[in-house]
Amino acid sequence: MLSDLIYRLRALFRRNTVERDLEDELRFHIENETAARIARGADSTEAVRQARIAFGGVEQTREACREARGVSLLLAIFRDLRFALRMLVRTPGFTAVAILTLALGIGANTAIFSAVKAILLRPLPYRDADRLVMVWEANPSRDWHHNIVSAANFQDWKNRNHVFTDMAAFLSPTLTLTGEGDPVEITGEQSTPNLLSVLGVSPILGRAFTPEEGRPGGPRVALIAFTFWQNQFAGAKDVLGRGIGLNGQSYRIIGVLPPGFDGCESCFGHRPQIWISGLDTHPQGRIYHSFRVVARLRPGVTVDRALTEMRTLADAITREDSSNIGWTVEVVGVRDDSVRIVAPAIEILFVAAFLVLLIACVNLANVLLARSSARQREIGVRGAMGAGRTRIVAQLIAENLLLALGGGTLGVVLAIFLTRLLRAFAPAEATPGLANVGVNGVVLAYSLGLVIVTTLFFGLAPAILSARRDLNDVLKQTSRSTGGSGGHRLRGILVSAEVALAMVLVTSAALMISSVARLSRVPLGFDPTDVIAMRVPLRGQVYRDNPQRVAAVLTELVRRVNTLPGVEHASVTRGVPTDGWDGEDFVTAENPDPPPGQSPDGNYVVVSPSYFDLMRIPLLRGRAFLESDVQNSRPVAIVNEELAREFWPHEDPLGKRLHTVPVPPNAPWMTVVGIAANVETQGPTNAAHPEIFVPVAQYPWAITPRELLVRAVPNANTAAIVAGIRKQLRALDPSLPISDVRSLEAVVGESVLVQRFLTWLLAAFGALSLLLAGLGVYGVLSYAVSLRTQEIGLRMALGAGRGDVLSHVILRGVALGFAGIAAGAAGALSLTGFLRSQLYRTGPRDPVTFVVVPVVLLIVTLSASYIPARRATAVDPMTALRCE
Amino acid sequence: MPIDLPQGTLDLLILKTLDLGPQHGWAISNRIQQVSGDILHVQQGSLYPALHRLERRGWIRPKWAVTENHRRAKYYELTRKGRAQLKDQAESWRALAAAVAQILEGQSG
Repeated sequence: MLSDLIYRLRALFRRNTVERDLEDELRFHIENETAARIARGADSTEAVRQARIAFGGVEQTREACREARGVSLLLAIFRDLRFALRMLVRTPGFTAVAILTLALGIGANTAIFSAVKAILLRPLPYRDADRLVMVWEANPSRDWHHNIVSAANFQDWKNRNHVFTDMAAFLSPTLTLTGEGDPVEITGEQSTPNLLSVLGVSPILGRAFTPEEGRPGGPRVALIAFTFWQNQFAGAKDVLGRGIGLNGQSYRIIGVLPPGFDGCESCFGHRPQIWISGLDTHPQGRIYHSFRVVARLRPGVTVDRALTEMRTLADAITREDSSNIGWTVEVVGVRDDSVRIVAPAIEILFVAAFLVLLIACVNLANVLLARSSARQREIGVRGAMGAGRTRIVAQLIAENLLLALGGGTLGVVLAIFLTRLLRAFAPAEATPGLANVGVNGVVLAYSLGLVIVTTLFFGLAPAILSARRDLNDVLKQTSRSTGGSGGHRLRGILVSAEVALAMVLVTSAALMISSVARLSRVPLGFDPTDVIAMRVPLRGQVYRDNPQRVAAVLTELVRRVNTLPGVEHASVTRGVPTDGWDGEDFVTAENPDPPPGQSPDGNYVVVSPSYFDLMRIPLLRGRAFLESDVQNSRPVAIVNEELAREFWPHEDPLGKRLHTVPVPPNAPWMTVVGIAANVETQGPTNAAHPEIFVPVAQYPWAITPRELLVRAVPNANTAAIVAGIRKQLRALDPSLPISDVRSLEAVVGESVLVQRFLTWLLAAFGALSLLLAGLGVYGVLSYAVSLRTQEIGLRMALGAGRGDVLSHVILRGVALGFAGIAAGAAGALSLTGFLRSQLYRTGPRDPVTFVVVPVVLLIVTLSASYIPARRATAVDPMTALRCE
Repeated sequence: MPIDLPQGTLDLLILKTLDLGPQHGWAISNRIQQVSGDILHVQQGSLYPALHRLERRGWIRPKWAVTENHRRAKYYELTRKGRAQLKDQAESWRALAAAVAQILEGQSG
């Protein structure tokens, strides 16, 4: 066995020596045979001749010996590959284009696949993650589908459902790590004590919460994340029982959670480091929505069934409690929920990349068909010389294999680069698992699979086609005939298919581009340039029960920040536009008691008086807030255009009164003193909704989350400004941090980040497909012209003018293109419906797009046809007719 | 009249010939012819492939040497594995021949 292997290896790697030895051995034999015959009396030349005859065919013997060595197959393959390499090197232009085309197709697909694997298919750190669902409230009439859940509903769902084994509620409070050193903002999660058991996660040290610890006001204990344990406690084993300060109070650490566990992944971009319990799930008004809810499905229950049952339950609850009118339930698998923003985009890109690869393959198949047609004679001669059909096919496949390997390798390199781009530019918050997008083992395997499949696709077909031909016909064939008209029709069909695919891709890209263009033209309503936003949490006992103190601190902070150099305006606000919606139900004085569930809802924004100046929101009527609008003076409000339009369409809104509900007893009505222009609070994709602005001095308890906005003068040193703000805040209260410093432009950009990203990539794919389709048309026509040189020469000799020849070729190109455009238009009409979720104010059958894109494709086809047409007219009839 | 050798038996005869000592290809062919009284003719075209096959299997081992005429020649010698093979194959052959003879005897007369 071993000797066999050694023998074969030697035969493989020391081929030359082995061949020489054989040569010597056989020669020696013939010499001996000759000598023997001479000894028997023959003369020398006759003896040599007889000896040779007696030996038989030397070449056959040599071949037989090679076979006996057992490496002939391997050697044949090597020889094919070497020959293929030489052939490819001889036509560098073709080889380069082919490899590049393949690389682009394979690279794009590999990169998108790695995104699919890392984001859509990533393993979740929970037990049986596919049995976990998020349960949301939804209000379809207001187009809210993933709304946080009220305590009352949570309790009712938990107690009355039949589809879940357990449900847990949680939210993300802002926690400040107090105690040693500067207070530091830390991301945390506060949950019902059963969160870990619902998720199926156990601490690696210590234990989970007990029900007693889940009681609000119960023992203060905390679980810490693995990274927190490593960073803050250096992974000390005795961390259990140690205390940490949170929001000014001491919590005892009772457990450490496993690495890779980031809480419930629906919290986008949110990596909690600390878990506490004591969540107050005592039912208050059903309209106060607070929690996220995760539940584990009972065995055998599907998500759909859970959804149906929960909706029935919600209806029952609504019948019992009319404040729930309009609200229903949404049940989504945890995995789907965490990627719901980017999943459509990724899926679209996956299909688009696949289309590009398909176009690339069709292109290559076409070119290879042409090349193999040109080599028919060579193949015929080989067949006549005894090469079996398999060997001929093998030779052809060798070339395709080399091309595929070259393209695949380059493609992987490209994919590495592309995934790096993805990691850098994709919206990180909406894309869990983004960090894992890269070329790893599984992705490489996918790449390899693509390479194999594409080789088979574009390589095998032409190879089999050409090998099948009758050798006789091929040998007899001269170039005078139109040679391979059947092949020509196939190539024409392939090119039209290419154009059709390109049409689909380019149409999709064009739709996305027009959608994004429309999005960016929607007026924001405010000016985010040079504005910085940051959170000012103000946690702690001293603020929790003392809204006056909150108001005082915030007002003083704004005053101080205004004095910092480089600051034009400062204001506090509740939440930042395009970053969320803080809805409150309200009633107007005209309609103080609407039927349950029909109170209108508006964004309730608590602001400093300088807010409108800072944001450059025009005040259309009335006045802004003044310093005189304080706690004891008349409660005032500013409403936006939309609210005024909806509720007081034909009257003067100034002086009208409204209330948020529920109304505390004896609370005075707010009076409208101003109308502000509409602002894109929910991002450009949503229409305007009513908004109510109130001064922070009058409603300090309502300002959560607390954001500080600062408009800097252009080109100011923002880092210095932020440092100055920190100092001022510490001067007011040393325990207060600021966090989440970000530019408002970035926040606004995030709301359209996914669409923009998708559009860029689709546009790139579209452009690529145009290029490939153009190359395809050019290739086919150019080859047809070269085949028909004689025919063209004949025509011209018989009187056809240059113009006739030109138009003949161009018409052929246009015909191919047209067929492709028509097929592609049909395909696009039916397929672009999938883009609907990503399109803004652009229907998937937008007529302008469907006119412009075919025109573009037609132009590309025309240009691609022009060059071969010109070449056709350059044919000199005499030379054409003369040459064979 | 010389009979052409069936291929399987060529291996056996080569091994047996080499049992007597290392020889080169031509000598092996010559010897088989002589010892069989000129009845068995080795088809020269199949001799060398057979030799290479046996070499690959490790039953014979090549040795390059210089002949008396100062020519470079490739001698083969039997390996231990080859010797064992020879014994096995010879036994099988004898058994086969005996069985065939048995049947032929039984049928005639």
